[in-house]
Amino acid sequence: MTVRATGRWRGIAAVALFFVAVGLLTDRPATLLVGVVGAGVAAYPRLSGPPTVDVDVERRVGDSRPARGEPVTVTTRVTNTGDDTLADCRVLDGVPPMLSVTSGSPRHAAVLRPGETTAFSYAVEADAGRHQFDPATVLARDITGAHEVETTVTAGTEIRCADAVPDVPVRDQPDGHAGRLVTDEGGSGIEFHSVREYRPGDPIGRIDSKRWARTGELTTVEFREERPTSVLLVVDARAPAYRAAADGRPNAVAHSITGVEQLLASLSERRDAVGLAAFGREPCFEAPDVGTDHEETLYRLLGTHPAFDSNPPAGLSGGSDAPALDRQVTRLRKRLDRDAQVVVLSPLTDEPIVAAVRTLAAAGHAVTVISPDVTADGSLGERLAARERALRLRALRGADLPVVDWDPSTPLGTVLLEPRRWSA
Amino acid sequence: MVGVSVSHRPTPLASGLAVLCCGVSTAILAPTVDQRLAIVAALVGVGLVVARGREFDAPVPDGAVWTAVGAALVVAALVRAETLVDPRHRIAVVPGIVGTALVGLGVRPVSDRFARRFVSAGLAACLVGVALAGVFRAAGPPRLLGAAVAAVVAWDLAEHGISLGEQLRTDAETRAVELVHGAATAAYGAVLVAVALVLYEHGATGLSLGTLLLLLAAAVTLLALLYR
Repeated sequence: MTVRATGRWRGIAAVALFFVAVGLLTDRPATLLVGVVGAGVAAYPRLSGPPTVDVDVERRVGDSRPARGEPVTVTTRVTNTGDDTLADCRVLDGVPPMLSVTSGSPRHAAVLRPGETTAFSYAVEADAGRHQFDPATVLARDITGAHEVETTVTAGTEIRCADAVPDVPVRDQPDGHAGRLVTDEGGSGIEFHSVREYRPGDPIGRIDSKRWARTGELTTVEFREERPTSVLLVVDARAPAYRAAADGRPNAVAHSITGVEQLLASLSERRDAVGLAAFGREPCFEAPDVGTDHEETLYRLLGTHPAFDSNPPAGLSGGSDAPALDRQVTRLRKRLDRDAQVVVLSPLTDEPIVAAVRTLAAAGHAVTVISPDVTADGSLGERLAARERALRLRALRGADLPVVDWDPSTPLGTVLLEPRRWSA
Repeated sequence: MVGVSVSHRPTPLASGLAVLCCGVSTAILAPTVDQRLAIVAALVGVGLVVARGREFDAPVPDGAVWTAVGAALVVAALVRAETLVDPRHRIAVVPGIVGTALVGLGVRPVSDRFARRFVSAGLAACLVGVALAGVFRAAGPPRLLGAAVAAVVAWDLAEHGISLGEQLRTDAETRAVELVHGAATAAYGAVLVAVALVLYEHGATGLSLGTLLLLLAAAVTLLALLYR
């Protein structure tokens, strides 16, 4: 909760001083009298203090599982649960960043007496994916408007658009707990790899019995080892990544989060171990793992962790407090298994993220970059930004890193998850 | 208009009321029919300029022609006020019309960044009118006080409308808040006028200049403390 002075009455005392001065200099008592009123007006903002805000927000979604493109009516009810009358209560509902409002306004202002409720509704157009509502922002001003209290109220609401999950192609592979990543290392598996000298402790079933019968020499057969893939999805959510193609359009971080949701759905279906991390205002790391519980944890992180906030960090507090990117990368490397693959989702808006990707690749991780394209083709500056991004894509590709240039208007398809992209 | 985001314009109700209050402030100072005609012409003109490009449920004259007509009306009102026979009638009306036009440009707004500047300039113009009317005895104390309070209410409404437009955009439902806010300021202003008039009727007239200076010093100290 932030309390601030709006400063809107600042300078109004000049009115009083002006009239007093004019009245005195010209010897006009009536004008002097206006100065008295001016002084009264100057005292007006002092008459009331910042209101105490206690509000509840309740959201009703017409259809929480709509089809794609269908309008969904959202009705938000705001109740004043405190004892103060909120003379000027402004509510900005936290519309999911990927959904666009088609009719009505998600913003509303009302006078709320204690216990009173106000409601407003608007319609959003459902888009593919799982959309969590952000907390509603409540701005309450006192009657003079001199003080403003800003607070956010959470009401966990989400809209799931059913056909969001990309169709996962069925892969030809012997099932079982072996993973789908066929490595070049010997071990237990199906495909023949090599024969080596017996070492104590080798499973008896893998001893080459024919050779033993023939020569009396103990050898062990190795097969190509198959391991489950372990993938870490990293979202670039630093302040520079909060770029949007235009005002009012979803920013790159929002696109990245949508992308992560699609990837999560796809990867967990294939029983790959999936982890989640973010570079941003607060480090976020969840090591790759499998299972429904783990999946739920990941979805919850996506919805609640401050690093995945779809609004850019506010000014200085978000920008400068965030740990430096190289430190975040170092920390990530320390906590991540060496053989885990990394998928970085970043709009590639600056150089440090390119360096971070290279660092991860140099550390032995198979890195893939998925870059939502939020550049525009308008002004000179916009074109320059697009050009710079293209150069960064080229630099990464030049370093033999797969980079997917993703146009966010098309769903991030399963093409990305083609096995060859992951093969080590 | 280049650079003006339509969706963040000041809310229509507060904008309209602000311009109206400016007109009322001027009309309080100017009792004759000729003056009031000029004020009404200026109000209609400013209204046409402010309404340009907004969406209303009711059909409202809209378009470049109407804006030009509005601007012409404001200029005509100014010329009319400037050519009034009695110079005291002139000084009571001209600053008020200028102030109304400035507040109108502020809530239109001509420029998002300078919306508040325009509104403040409008308040200043209206108050200069009040001061001139006081100095040249164009109006008595009740009129001066009423005009000053109406101008302050106009400024308050306009600023409130601008802040609502910034935070919630024009399409949000904000009318109740605007009315309550405006009514509270107007009611407080009315109380101030009543108190000031009671003070005036009961003895403040017989004070010597020395006492007044002392009062002034006290008032300045009070204001300084208030704004610490």
